[in-house]
Amino acid sequence: MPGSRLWYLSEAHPDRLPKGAGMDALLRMHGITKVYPGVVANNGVEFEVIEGEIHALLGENGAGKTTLVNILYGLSAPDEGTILWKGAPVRIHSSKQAMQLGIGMVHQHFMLIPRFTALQNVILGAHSGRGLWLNLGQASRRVRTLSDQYGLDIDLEAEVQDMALGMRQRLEILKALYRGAHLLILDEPTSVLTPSEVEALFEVLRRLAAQNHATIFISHKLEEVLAISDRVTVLRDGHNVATMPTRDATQPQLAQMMVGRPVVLEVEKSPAKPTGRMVIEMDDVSVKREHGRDQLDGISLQVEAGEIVGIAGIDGNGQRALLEVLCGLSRPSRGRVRLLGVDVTHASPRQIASMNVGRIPEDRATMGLLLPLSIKENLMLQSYTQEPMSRWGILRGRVIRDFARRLVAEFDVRTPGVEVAVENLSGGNQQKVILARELHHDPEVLIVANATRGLDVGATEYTYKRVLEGRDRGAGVLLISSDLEEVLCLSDRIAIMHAGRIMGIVPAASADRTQLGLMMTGTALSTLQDG
Amino acid sequence: MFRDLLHQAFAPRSRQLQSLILPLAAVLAALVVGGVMISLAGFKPLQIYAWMLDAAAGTPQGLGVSVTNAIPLILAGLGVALPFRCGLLNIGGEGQIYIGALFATLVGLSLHGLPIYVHLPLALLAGFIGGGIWGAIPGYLRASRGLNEIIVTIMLNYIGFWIISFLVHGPMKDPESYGYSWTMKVPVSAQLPFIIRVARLNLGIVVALLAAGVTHYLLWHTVPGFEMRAVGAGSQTARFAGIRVGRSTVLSMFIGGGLAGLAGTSVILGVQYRLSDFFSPGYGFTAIAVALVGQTSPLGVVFAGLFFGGLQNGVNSAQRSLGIPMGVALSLQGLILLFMIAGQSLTLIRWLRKKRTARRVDYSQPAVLLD
Repeated sequence: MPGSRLWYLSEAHPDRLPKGAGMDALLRMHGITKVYPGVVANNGVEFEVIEGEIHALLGENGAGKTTLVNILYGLSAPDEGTILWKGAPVRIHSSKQAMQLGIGMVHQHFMLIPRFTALQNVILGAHSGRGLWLNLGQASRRVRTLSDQYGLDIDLEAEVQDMALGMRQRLEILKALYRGAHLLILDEPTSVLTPSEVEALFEVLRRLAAQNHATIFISHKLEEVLAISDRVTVLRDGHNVATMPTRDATQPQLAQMMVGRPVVLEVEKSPAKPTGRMVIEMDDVSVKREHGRDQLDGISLQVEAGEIVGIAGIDGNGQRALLEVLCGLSRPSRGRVRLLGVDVTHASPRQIASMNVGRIPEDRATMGLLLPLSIKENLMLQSYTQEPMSRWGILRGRVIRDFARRLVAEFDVRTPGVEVAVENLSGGNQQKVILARELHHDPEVLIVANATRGLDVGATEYTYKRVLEGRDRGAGVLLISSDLEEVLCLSDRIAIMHAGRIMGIVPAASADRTQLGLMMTGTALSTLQDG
Repeated sequence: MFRDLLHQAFAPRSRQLQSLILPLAAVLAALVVGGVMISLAGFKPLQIYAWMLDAAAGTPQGLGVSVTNAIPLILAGLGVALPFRCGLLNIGGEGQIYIGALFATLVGLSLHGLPIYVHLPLALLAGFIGGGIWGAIPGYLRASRGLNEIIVTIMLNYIGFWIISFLVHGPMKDPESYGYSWTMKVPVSAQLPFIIRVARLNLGIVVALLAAGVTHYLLWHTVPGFEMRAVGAGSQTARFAGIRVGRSTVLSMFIGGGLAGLAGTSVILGVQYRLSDFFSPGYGFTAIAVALVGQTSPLGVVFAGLFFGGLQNGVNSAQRSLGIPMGVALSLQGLILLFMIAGQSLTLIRWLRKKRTARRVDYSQPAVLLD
């Protein structure tokens, strides 16, 4: 499917020979079965990694990828199956033991101490020197050599708290290498990175492979798997679906293997029919920077009913501030904001929440959901104060339960019941709970921020469908996303943000990726057109 | 650190089975270790425990004392449990108990000639409001200025206590009390009457059970209660959804303080009839243990309160009759807490998971573990 590859990965990956299964495997996992209460997470999984290869482990959320590598890294014990490491059977009981064998893991959430320098983080716990004394000089020389050898490009004296996420990740890799990792496990490594950081990471992975290190690359992003891996193993529902050389694989084929049915990756969408009625109007809105928060610098933006306006940009360029202003969480220092024709510049979150607005925030765990509370309680979060959900301050249990059951059925949330805490749901089902809450009342304005982050293909497809339905019903949609593909395939118009400003607004149909990329890094549209 | 630890220890358990097994196991483990301590002190643990059980629950009189002990523990325990659901740690029960008792005593002493069904409810209400104000102060400072409610409630304990101490040594001192520093006796119309005379059990237990029922209803069946739990479950999400987080914070601390105030009131109007300093042997602190063992659920707090009330009674009796050191009682309470916290630590839970037979179906396992 040409055109849907990420623009920043367009460079063809080096055509290294995928080494076949005939060779001696570095790692062979055979017949791995792991049963969690109620779910078979791994069911007789076969997996092998050979020296010097980048082996992608692909699958939807809940397919058993993490379970498999947790078993490999000693974090959980398999119920059945054997692990062969360099040809010899091993039982791995702890991550310490895994490290001793030469297996290193970089988790999705980094395990670093923010106030320590990079160097201190690397040598922390990896003993070097004698007795109580650290041999800092020697350790630091070794770290530096390693860092240079693999082109990790880390400022070893900088404190971790001042580092960008991409550098923190490379630091995690350095940590694993310093502990003698020969096989590196990367769990969803690109989920937190900007496009250029992804490219830097891939460069490091290629260097590692060239020096005979093996990498397990866990992902559900097809473009990345195709761009970086030598072989790919697809898991679905805890089973192996296939293992094949990546160069023989195509994107639709992999997607179908992951999901178990053909997937429409290109969103089918009819042309927008904007009605001319403004639902969001921002006029010269600024927000001052406060301890590390985003800022906005004179944003002017209009969204009409019946269209989707996408905000493209690298994370941290004011998207969060924009969302907060539109939700009443922060007050602009200058300018005016109108929603549905009402001035909400100084409105409270409650006033905005009570308008006919649907909001799908970027962070499910801290802004979208109350994780310990039940599905029912999360679904009623926008409507519990109104009749018939409550009267005279008393909640009406039966009305609420029926309401929740109706939404769970309508939005296909997979759960044993509405009393289940949302923290027990998978990411995709959690997202459905938010979608159900924010869309069931046909809002006139829809504000969507990075709504598909961390979702698998099926759930992403579902979210897109629902957002487009909202537009076609006549809602005005503001779509904030750091995923350029997402902005391109959903939006009717695209506004590009950089450093709190809008660099330009272009119709999605005529958007040019190179031009968008330039604007995302700070070149104004007017400059591009002049040039 | 400390805060995380407490939060972890208090975190409401979702599964009924686990929420029952954990406190029972903690109590059992504490009794075993306490038994070792008792035998080291030169006594026979089983004999002592049998004596304690008999004293605490073997006779109507003994049971009456146990339940009477439990009244302030249940009320103050609710006063910790409710703000906890809103994400707040109320360590200020002791101060709220004293201020509540003061308000109740003032209403009790200053009104005359009223029938009991007017005077008593007024005095109880005053006690609730007094404690509520003492709880609302840290709630307000937290909501408006971001001050840590743990620190402020601890400090207000001292202030509350010394206000009462000053009053009962000075302005409110009973002129005929000779050496004692206490107030005059509240009239009968403001006293909690006995409901079971043979057990000397007063109406306070009804107040405590009613308070537990109301707290449960408030939290799970009303709009303000839902808002409190929403704030406790995720204050950012709650704010995003339009909930006024500050208001819920102040309200939950007001009600929590009020419940603790009722605890102090129940002691004055039901047992001692006059306000004195040192009338509370640390109910406000034991209340934290009660809320913890009761898993911050109102029903759990009732059972935990009864248990701790009985424990105190049993230990007191064993001390009087058999001469075991008072420290044993405190050690037992401390040990129970220690085992509760240890029991909820992640290491232990992980260890249990590994041991558990893998094929049993149980939805308590979060599905996200599998990703």
